[in-house]
Amino acid sequence: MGLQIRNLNKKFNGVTLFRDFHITFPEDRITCILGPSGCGKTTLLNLIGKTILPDSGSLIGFEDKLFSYIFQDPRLLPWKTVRGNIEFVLSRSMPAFERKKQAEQLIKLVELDGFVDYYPAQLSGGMRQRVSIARAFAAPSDIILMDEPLSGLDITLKKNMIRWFTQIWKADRRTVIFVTHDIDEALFLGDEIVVFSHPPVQILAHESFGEPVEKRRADTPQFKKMKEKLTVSLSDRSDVT
Amino acid sequence: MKISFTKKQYISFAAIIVMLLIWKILALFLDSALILPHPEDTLVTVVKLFTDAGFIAAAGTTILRGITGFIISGMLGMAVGILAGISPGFNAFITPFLVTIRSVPVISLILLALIWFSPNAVPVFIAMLTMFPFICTNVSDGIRSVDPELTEMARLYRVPAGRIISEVYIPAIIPFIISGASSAMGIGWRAIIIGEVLSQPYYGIGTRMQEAQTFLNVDALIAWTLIAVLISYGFEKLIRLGERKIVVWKV
Repeated sequence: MGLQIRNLNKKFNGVTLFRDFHITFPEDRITCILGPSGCGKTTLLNLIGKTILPDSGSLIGFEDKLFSYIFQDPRLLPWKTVRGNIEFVLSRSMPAFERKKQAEQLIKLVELDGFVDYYPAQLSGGMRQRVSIARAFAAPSDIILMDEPLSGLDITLKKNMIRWFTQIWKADRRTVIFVTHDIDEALFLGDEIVVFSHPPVQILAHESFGEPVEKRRADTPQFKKMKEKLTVSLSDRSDVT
Repeated sequence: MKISFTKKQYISFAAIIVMLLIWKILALFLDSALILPHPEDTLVTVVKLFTDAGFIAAAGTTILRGITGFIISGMLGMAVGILAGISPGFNAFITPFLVTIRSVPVISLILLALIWFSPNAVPVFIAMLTMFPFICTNVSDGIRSVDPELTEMARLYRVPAGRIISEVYIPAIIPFIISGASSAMGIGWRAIIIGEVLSQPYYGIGTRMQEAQTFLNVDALIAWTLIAVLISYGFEKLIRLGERKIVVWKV
């Protein structure tokens, strides 16, 4: 039955972001929420992650779920090495050698093998974000929440990040809820793409990709058609405002 | 980078030579060992002091007092600083105390301490009181400077509060603690020696300075001063060395 949000109402800074809002997230898939800035995407992630509470409404299926996060900024501890940053989110009830093993395994997956003992200041922006991806998968969790983790990166780096992410995700399929305002990111990463309007949020479109993320290519007819559709739904929104 | 560094050292070295030259010229001009001895005579006195039987006891006791005062004020300053950094209410409460301690002349504190404590405890008390506000303020500034995004990340990843303190807050404030310790020590050594001069404990650099002054032993007075400067400089170097060893993550 998946993860559901029903009858959600939420005001934030005097703006009604959600009014009787419903949405369902399929489990073990990547759902991408596409929408303009300030439409309440981040608020929705915060509601899901339970850092803020709804005014009313219910979140079904999220009750005993654990979350991992990939933020826009990697948020690494500057005084910890790559391995230290990943071990940081692992429970101390896990023996030290086990933590080390797990951290190193993920570091290998994002191909940072040679950089285990480097400090964040010694890494490039893209490498730091890779560490934060590894950290999200190292932490025990059911759902990964991503808030515009690719914005601010250039296009090549963006494509690479998507490749790193899908590479790990293939081996460890968790439910991913990913928020962005960039159509290409959504197309490359989302299994499901949900287009949000300006607040109060309405779902303008909901598309599902049949094709697995790793096989997606920008030059296929299906990709192009989807991009057109999403562009139209996003521009519908701009007619409204 | 390397070249400019040696160049800087070069200039510092030249400055020391100029200082010694001015000293020498003044000594020649005044021409009295009772008023200003020659630098080379003072150097001989410093070397003699080093080999003097009472030297270790005097310098060692002063250093020990400094370290004791530093440890006590360090621990108190950290505890109060952390609280003040976390709670704005506590910060508002503690600020008047810190301002008062800082604005009271050191000499008033010493005169009061002379009435309250034994001669051995006075310099330690003075050192503690002068160092405490520096450490406390730096620690609370450090706590407030901790990136809220990092602490949020830690909480969202369900890292327990104890580990958030030891692995997020403490490392973040270490650079602040070090710079607080450095300014505290700079002030602290001076305060200890003034305390010793006035309270006259049995051992101590200040005690020996006072003796030298009483007997118009000017070269010994200057020699002890040089030793005090060396101790202060040595500890400053030690703190900076510690900083380089601990704060390895800054590139």
